[in-house]
Amino acid sequence: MPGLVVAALLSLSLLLVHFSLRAKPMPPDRPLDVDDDLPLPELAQSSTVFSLTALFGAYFGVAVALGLPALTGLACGTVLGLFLVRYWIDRTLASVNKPEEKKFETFLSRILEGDERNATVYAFMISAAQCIYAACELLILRELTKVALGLSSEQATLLAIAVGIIGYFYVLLGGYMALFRTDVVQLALVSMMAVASGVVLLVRYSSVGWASKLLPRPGFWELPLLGSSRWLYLYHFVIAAVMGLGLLLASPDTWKRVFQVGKRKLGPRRSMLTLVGVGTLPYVVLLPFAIAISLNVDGPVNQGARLSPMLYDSYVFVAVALGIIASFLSAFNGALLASVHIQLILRRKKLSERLEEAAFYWRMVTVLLSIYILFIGALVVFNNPSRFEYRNPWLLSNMLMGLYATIGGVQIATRGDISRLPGNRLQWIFALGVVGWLLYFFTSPGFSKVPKIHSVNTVPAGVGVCLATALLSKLFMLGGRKYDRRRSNGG
Amino acid sequence: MIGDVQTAVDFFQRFADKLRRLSPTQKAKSVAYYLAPGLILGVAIIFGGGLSVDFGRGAAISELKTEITGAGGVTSRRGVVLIAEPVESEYQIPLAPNGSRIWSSLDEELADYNVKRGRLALDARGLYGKTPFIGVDSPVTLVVEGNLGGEINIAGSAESVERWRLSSRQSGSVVSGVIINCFLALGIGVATGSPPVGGDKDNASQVGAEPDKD
Repeated sequence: MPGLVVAALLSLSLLLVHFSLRAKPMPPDRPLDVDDDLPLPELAQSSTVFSLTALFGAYFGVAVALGLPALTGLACGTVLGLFLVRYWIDRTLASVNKPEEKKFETFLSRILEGDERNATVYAFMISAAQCIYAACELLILRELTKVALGLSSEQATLLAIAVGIIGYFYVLLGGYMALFRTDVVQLALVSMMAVASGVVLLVRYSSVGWASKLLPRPGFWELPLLGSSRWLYLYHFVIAAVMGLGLLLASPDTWKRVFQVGKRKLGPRRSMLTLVGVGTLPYVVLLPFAIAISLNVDGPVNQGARLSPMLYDSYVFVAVALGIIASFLSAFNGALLASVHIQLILRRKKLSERLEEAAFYWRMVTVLLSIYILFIGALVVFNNPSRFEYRNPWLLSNMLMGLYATIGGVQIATRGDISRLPGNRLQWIFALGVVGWLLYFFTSPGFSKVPKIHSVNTVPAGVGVCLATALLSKLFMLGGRKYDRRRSNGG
Repeated sequence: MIGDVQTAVDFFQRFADKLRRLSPTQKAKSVAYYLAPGLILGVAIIFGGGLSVDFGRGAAISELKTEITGAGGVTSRRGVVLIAEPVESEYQIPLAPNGSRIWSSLDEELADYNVKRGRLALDARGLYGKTPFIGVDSPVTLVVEGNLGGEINIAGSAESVERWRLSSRQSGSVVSGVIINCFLALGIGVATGSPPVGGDKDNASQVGAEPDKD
């Protein structure tokens, strides 16, 4: 029965995408220039946070090890990130006079203005981050299906590859229209998984003192001067908020979703409530898991230990299987499409071709192959106990945090406008940020052979990299704006 | 065999020629819609033991570890369960120390028949089986005492026991469902990405504006 239900739902959604898009195909000249009629973008805004990397990776670790103060910080950082992205988009498009030109592609084009080398590096780093993020999703999907659904290693690898290809076809056939439509379905499935598993966890483990589990555990994000006072909780809140903010600032699929919500011209109160609601929803999902799942903080993480018993029920099993796949598809599709879109915009700035259909297809193929090469490479290196003694599928996502931190730092410093930077500087900023992060990471608790909860102790360093990158960018910006947009527009 | 290889080579050459004659956009579309995803899926299936993972391996192995008595006592007792499908294969499962008997789902006559014809044996090298067992067209269960090692010999090649462990059917059904959908998606991709047979006329592909203009 579970296989039949999964097969039926995936088939229906695939056929829905195929037949509905025959009626409204992607425009051949600009396949991703689609801003109209995208359904319910509000529901899709939190899909970045609902990703497996976030839900079952960094955010899960933060929720379990650091409890409510950090979780609240994550939620606030996410909400702040959504507001900031909205403000950034509105400000970038403010100087566009014609309403029909206030498009998402115009926004992307504007953020790549300035020195050509800087724009190329910026686009490449964002695109690369999305490819690595998608590969992380594959790795974590594989691992979760092993521990939560009882798949063997081979089965899990094959399932991950197959689901990734299904996701690829969704967006290849339908671009953003398919992404947004499937996001709605996927959010429903993830919510069903969260409710089903959350209820079971809380019922089974409600005898455990849940109040104590909401507080931070010792040994995580500690500062010598703060002790265990409320100032420590404030410190946790701030670190987590920057983490939540940084993820959204560096995620082009989030920018697209926020742009679409902004297009709907909701009233200010409704708009704010929407952003707050979808921004905090994923953390409500995490809370029952954080309360119910207790981990041996000194040993390897075994998330299956508490999940497995509840999956004896077929309905819960199906709900969890569908939720995991849906969560993966939402984030994977968004990352894949975002990576391609950034590359297309960069190409357009250099070539100014009218028809981009072939370019779109080639970039889809390039990104797909890149993601799978990264996935297989990470499996061989980081999840191969017989060869390299590593069995840590979360290692790549932990390393990715540094790249997100540098991108976030550049955006914070330049306020989303890299034309403020002098020419040929961005590659050095990114190089220093990434190398600095890796030098720290390889000696940190995050670089462990098995997944350990102590990996969350790399987050404050990630925030430090973000701030250091921002500071470095500011230093480079001293001395004036070399490629100010206002000057180039004659304003 | 040589004829088959030549036929395959000719096919790929004709396919490559046809691909070269396509317009740049149609070439890109073909690669994106079926060549690239087909390549990935093909590699996964060939090198990942793909189809056999869910469409039925020839056997499944499970390890026995304890003996529980009617009085509730639990003691350590090692053994191996082999469930052999009625497909052509040959198994050699090393056991240490070797058990002295096999407990099977075959009836007496069929068990005697297969043992005498060398299709089922327990010797110094461990449990030996050659399937399909004569007179049987359903899976056969074999139980034998002994410690299971890390490798078994299947059709002449040593393989890790982990690849042959009995896995949950519920879990396997999820994998099957996803793989079927993957092939459905690939089929849609072939239909959408293939160039129209009639050339420019009546192009029913997804993008209909100017399909041959690049």
